[in-house]
Amino acid sequence: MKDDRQVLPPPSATDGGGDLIQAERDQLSRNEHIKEASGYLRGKLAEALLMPASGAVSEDDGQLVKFHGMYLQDDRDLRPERMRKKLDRAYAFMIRLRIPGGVLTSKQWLVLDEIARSYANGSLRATTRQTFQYHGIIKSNLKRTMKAIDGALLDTIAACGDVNRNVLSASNPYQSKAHAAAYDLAKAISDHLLPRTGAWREIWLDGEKVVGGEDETVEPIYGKTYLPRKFKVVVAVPPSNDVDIFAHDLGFIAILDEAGALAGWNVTVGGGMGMTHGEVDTFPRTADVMCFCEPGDALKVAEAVMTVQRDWGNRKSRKNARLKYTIERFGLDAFRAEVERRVGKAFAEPKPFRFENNGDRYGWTEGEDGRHHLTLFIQNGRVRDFEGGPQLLTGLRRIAEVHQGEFRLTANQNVLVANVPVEKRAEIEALVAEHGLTAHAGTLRRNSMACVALPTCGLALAESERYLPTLIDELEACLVGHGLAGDDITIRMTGCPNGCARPYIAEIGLVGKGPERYNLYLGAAFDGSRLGKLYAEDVHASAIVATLDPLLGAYKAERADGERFGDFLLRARHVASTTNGPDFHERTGSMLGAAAQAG
Amino acid sequence: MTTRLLPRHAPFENDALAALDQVLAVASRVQRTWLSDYLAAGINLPAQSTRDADVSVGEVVEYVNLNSSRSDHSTMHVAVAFSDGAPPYRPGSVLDLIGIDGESVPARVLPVASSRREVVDEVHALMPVGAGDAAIVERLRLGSQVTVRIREDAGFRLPAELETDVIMIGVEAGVAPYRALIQERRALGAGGRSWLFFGGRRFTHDFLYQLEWQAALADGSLTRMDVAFSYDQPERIGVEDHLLDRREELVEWIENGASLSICAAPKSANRAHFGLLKAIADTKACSLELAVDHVADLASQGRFSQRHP
Repeated sequence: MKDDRQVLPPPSATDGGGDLIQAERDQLSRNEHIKEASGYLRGKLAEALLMPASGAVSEDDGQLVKFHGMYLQDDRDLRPERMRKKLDRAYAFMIRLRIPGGVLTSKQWLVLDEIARSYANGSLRATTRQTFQYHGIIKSNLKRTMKAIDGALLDTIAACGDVNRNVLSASNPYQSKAHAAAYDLAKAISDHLLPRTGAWREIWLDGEKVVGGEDETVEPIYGKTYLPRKFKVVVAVPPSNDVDIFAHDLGFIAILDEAGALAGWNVTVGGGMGMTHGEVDTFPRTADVMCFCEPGDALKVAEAVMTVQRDWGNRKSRKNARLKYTIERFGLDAFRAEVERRVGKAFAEPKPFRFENNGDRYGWTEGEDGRHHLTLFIQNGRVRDFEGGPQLLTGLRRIAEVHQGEFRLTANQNVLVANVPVEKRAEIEALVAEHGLTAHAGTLRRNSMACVALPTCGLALAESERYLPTLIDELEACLVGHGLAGDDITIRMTGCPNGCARPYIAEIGLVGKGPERYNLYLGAAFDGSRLGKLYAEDVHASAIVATLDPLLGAYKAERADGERFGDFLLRARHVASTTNGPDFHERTGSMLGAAAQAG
Repeated sequence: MTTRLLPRHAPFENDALAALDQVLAVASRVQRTWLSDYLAAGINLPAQSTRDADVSVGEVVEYVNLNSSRSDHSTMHVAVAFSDGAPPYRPGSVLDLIGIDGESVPARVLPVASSRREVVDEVHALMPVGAGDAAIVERLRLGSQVTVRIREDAGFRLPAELETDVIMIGVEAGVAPYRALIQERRALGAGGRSWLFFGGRRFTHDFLYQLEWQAALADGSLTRMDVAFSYDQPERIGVEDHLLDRREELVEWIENGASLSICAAPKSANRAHFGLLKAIADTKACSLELAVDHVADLASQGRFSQRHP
């Protein structure tokens, strides 16, 4: 597909970073001006914290707080009554942590748990990017929360915003030496690409104010306008694609030699999920496998990919600002050439690799060193005590109190109790049982993810986290009817097209369109390497099961040996395949339906 | 009475409640008795006779619980309209609710929350809903014809002088008279500054008249606001803590001629009053007893008053 598309000539080396002429400045998106005027992300945040009658911050500061790891939100369930009661919107902040590779000590877990109960809504929300976020933290508690987070030697810097976000790594770094190398690389990238501004400490921890400073010293890599848009990096170890490498801007795939040692990394670029309904020049895109690099070059490659995007990325339209659009505009070859120029060497072609799935392995596993690891399924990542149900928050707190190893958050919203000595297994198993941490969940549920959506997310067009469990109840009944209850099928739901739960690379993808209405995407690959295709638009929640039921029936009856649901739907021509981003919006709908109409 | 109750640099200086507890714990029996007596007396300001007011009948035109549906509190905002004009009242007045739809109810005294200069034919009042209010709450609704008597509370004086600075300390429904005062001062173009300390349980669910305070701060009719919500964080924070935190400016306002008042339920009023005393004592580096004398002086000049909503 890419061959016949026009690409633009690459920008000259002097573009970007330098001074812009006025006409160009006028075209920049509003956020670019906010960043530039913010004094390295300070804005008027300190003043806003001193205004006690409002739970909000200004619109401009609302953009800046993202760089500090938070979003201003409000409880949308309460909106209808607030005006009548002479109350402002129920504003509160979502605070997202930066936890490279999702690694937490037990001690850190206990602090995060206490924050959840003291300042947030009584829950920790594991995200799809190996971190936790809090919801419901009011403005007057922001500093207390940040100080507590800092006390646990954690922070929230760059957890959101136009910067390198939390860096993901294959979930269990103790499983093999390659996993350990993956974590080390993720941590090194996270450290290297971390914004250097002192704004976070200054505003939230009452740190000393550092005034002045030139771009080169304050933000040597970013400069004062940071990146055009968010930038997401992951590190994967085949055959597991648990970090969903094709959904991220930059990825590293571990390549091992015959002896099982790390030979280097395949570098992937240009993946991303977000799009806008009704705008076909926005689309999800799976990453290209660009090249192979040696272990010692990986950090330089990461910096070069990010700085090329910093300089070439679109700063006029935020909807077309992610790296995936930069690569579409200039072509992979030109992009790669510039990365090689900046690193100062040419790279080899990618090495062969194979992924099998993008999910987690539940239950106990044993690492090369004989230690044990337990992966717990957390429905939609919501760690809290459910009335009459599993006591996730309490149970995991009890484990943290006795567990000497670590916790790992997975990119599938799950929690891994890592590095358990064999003699401790029984004690942890008892706590797991006592608190219902492995309450029965069917196969479909274990392969499901949902974003938060309503009531806190300002972008949500429809329910997601609060609805998907119910939908899965109904779908499971349908699967049992077809004799498919034991088959792994991935299903993901988001409340809007921005794609936080990566729905476009799930075999069943549901994306909110409006209240109780979803677009249904089908045909994605089980290992997360291929996008789905819009199969049915504006499906009412009550019609989702009926839409899927005949397809599941056909899958059971007609599938080849070992054939996955997504692959089957393409082969049996129920839905057209998406080769990559730009043809995502073409040949949509049910192919059988279209053929019947044509006939 | 010159016993020094508090060291000048008390280690607990930013926590009024802890300070009170600590004072009581280390105080001699005589001192304890004195402080308790003082606070008890302070909250029971001598009742003064008020002139009899006429009974009026009006229609309930707004009846809404100002606390969020997630709050465990209910504070009803009751707006009553009178077809031939609202009876006279002023900031600080109270409303006796004595009948609903022609039937008499056990009289309920509500703080008035509006100024006639802003709401013209109406009077607004706040009704915190307590255990004994079921009968009234069930019967009162939009459109109810209510029999009320609106009268002044001679024991609670809010300044009528427009150039006077006002410091208003209100907890929960105790904020009602300050809404009236701010409406009045806005309507009359008051030149004096105003500073509101508001206390409640939770910011999100119990911030009575939040949108109106925001508007008042924006248009300048309210100069400053500090809020304390006791259930929002593990440690209890009340208006007394903010009085202490802001003590330097607070005393500066007082010495500049500001008028003060406290309107809160007994326990909260005690804490606020103690916070005020401690703020004065700390700032002026004097004993609590001298701070008491100072507040008494203000009261005798008509610059301090206190009541329960």
